[in-house]
Amino acid sequence: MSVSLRVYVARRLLLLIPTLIGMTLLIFAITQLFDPIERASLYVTDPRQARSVQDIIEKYGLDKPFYIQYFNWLMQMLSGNLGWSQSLHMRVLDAIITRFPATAELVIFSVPLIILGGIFLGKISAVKRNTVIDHACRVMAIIGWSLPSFWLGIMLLAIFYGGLSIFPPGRLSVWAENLVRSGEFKTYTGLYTVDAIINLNWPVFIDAIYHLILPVITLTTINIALIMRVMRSSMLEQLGRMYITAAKARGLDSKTVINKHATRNALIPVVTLSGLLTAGMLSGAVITETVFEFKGVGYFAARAAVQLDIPAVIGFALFAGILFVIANLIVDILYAYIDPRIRLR
Amino acid sequence: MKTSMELKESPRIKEFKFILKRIRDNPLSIAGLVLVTLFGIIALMAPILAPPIEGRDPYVIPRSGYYPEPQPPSPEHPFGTTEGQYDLYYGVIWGTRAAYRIGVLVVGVSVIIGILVGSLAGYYKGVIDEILMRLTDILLAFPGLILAMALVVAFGPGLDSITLALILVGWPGYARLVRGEFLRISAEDFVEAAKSIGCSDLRIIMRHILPNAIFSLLVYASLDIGSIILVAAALSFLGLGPPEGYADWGQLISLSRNWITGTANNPFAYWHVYTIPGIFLFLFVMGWNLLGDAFRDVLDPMLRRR
Repeated sequence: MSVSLRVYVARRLLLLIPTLIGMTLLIFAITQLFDPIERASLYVTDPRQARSVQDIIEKYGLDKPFYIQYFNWLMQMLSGNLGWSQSLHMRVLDAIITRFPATAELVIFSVPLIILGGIFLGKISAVKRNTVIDHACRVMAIIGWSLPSFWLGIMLLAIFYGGLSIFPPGRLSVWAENLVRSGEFKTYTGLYTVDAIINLNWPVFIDAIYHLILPVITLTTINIALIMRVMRSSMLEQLGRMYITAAKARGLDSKTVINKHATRNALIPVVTLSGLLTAGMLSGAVITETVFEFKGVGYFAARAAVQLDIPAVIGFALFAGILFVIANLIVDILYAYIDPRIRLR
Repeated sequence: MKTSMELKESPRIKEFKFILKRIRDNPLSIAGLVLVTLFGIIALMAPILAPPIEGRDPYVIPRSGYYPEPQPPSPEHPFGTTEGQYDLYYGVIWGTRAAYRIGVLVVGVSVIIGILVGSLAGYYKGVIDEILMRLTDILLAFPGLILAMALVVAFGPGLDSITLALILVGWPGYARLVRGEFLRISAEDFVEAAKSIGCSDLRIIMRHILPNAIFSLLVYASLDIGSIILVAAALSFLGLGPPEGYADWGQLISLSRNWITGTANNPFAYWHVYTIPGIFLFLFVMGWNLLGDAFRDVLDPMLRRR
């Protein structure tokens, strides 16, 4: 690491503190919209405590000024106590931890398709500018960008599951679900595809992939347009630069110029977007998981929201916010690493 | 005095004509304009296209019976009925009006807050700018849908809560945009000139800076309406929207979820239930996205005259 990069990373890490304080303050402000009795549920870790709500209000000073409450609340959150979820009958933190692998699996399969697919489409669209291919790509991008993800999911289910009786909703078929829960199958990561490989259990692996296809198609269709658009305009900008003309003048064939010179520089803005997109997938997961009954964090959060399970919703928002802030941090550092000019700002 | 005003206005009229010409030249832009206008007409004509029952909230869909199974299109119900015998035709027509209402309300209020906050920050700079921009940083440090979801839960489910939540999530984007434009335009010579002849701050902001920032706001707002309607429909789909029976596309799509498998001999027996409200929502969003895209191509100085 060069000195300038190290300085940049240090400065960026310092900036993390006010951002996190601001974020927790915002979430805390949302909790203040509830009355003290409802808020007390944020501090409960066990349903038996529910009988002594008045004690909780007193213990955490829920009728005290907001800065005392904020401090108490923050200490609770930092110690990992996100409260008790009525809708899931478990601690919110445990719920997030046990449900996260399902969401991670969805993201891990969708993100490479979105990024690589988007880069590929954006690149050919730019290189073949104003041809039929370009127009087709642009129209597809606008369609993908305008499709409501929940409606796309329902249409896919209606066609494939309803019409052709393939690709059912859920994460696994019943037999596979029973097998995974039994002692024979060891859970390592919670990602069924990965665990199936480690267990050398191919039927479960195939079943998991089978259930992933429609949700992954949905997430990819909705998000691919974003990367494609940025890649296209970035590529067009690079192709118009003098160094490209110079490279061509030196007699390099256009394939080398496009692949080695233009594409590399055009990828820089795509890096930023990809990071933010990955973090933002949590939003997409809420809807996609609900449509496909894919039981990840998003499904859990949506259910909790409808049942007005306040601690779960607040805990999930906090989790999503922290994930987003961390993703932003990684993107910024990566960006500074790729493009040294950023460090000087 | 009047002639000098006219002289000052004329480049703006020329600009407007240029925009219209560019939109006319692009088939995708025309498609966007046509869709947006068409939905606008549907929204305005809703009381004529689907007359509501006297004395009832027109946004509540009339139902014929309580039988759960949706009925196919018939002369009485041109688009059929959905779960619980709600008339789909009435639902999508008034749903268009509801969508326009949310879109215009959210964008309108966000624009006003954005202009107030953004111009304060961008014109006075310094501490005010720092405080206001850190506030927007915090709000933008969240995935929008999730923040909106938490807010709707806090306010209590319903369309008003969704509208309020979307405004709270949406205004920072406008404030950032207006601030950026103010910083850029304040540095121009004509602002300096206006200051030197003693114009008041309010006059400089209202007469000199804001009119020059309007086009960027227009692009941003037109691109924003589509996504606002998508998020509103998504929240309603999740079950955080108005009570059952309200003319709302998200809810109508949600009501179709139980009917995707069809009957034993016809897997697509209930096709109308999930297809029709979805197509309305999709075309509405696409219309606004196409129009916003057209505005951006036309107004972006980097792209426009190529």
